[in-house]
Amino acid sequence: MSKKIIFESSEGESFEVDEAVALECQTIKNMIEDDCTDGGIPLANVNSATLTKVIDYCKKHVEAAAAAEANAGDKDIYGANKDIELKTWDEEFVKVDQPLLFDLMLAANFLIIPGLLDLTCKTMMRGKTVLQIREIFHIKKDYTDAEEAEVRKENAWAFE
Amino acid sequence: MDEEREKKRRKIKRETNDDDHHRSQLDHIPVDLTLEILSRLPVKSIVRFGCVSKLWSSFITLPFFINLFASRSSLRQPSLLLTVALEKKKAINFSFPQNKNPDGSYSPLVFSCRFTNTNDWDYRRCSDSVHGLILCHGFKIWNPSLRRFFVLPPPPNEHISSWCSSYLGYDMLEGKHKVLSIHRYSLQTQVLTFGAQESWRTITKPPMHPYDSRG
Repeated sequence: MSKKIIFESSEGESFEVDEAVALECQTIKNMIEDDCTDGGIPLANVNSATLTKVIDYCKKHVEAAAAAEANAGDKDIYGANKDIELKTWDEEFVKVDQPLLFDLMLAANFLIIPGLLDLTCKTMMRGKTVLQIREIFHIKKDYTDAEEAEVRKENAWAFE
Repeated sequence: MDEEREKKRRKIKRETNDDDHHRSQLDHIPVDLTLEILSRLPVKSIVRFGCVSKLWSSFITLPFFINLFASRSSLRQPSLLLTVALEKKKAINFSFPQNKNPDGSYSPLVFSCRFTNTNDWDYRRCSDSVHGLILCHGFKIWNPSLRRFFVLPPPPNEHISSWCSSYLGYDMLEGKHKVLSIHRYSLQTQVLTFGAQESWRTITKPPMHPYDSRG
């Protein structure tokens, strides 16, 4: 029986996960090493919906890593297929609405899950226009129209 | 010992609470996270998003951001830059992504290539790429990723710059590019360090090596 770690979401809901899954989060890994996880880990800035997704992600990647290790002996096309499968799984995983994607990114940043941070960051920005980015990040345009036109002209190649 | 642990736990809890405060407003993404996000994007997207705000456009020249981006892009597909000069001041640049095979070798297949027409181009005597920059004739610096040129101030001596042999280098310790310029006859040696207040400084006793036109 592997050791269990208990997370507590911002709503106070408890989530029990295997230690191996929790170790995917660098922040938690440090806490486990420092032996300060008894009685659960309160995550006041991660809500239940986000935490459920984060745990799904960590579980899947722990399983995938274990499977890859088991197959390490016979490295063949099968291994490559596994990589593609995980990539496809990741792509499906981030097909969520913008606020949840945002929360996932913040959680990945806070818990330090490099793979998830990478995935959410890229998904967040993919195919977005300047206007959409301003909306998502709540940024007020501080260029005048003339200034913006000038910046766009200077970097016209990036808008092709 | 237990007290220590409790302190640590409390600290983590406090930090998470602080973050929660920020998040609930949702309009305060910390700058470091914004940099994390942008550093994962291709150059083209980063340049495009420079139009988002003045702050965002300033990120691209931030040394911290450049290093973050460089460390990430070294993990990406390397590209081969090929420059074909058409006329005296025109060139087409091709960038070939090198496709890495699972065994670590590179396949020669070209999946895509990018053309840039560089009108402001003087192809004579360009340096190799040094940490992302290329030194061209006439103290012109070319950043092929950003597709930008900038001109350095020439060394402040009475000699014309074509009498100088110039070399571009990168100082890992300072994290800055430098140009070394040696006058062909007087052997006066000067160094320009890139930065906000760039100016040439003369090296009074440069270590001398047998002179070779290629440096």
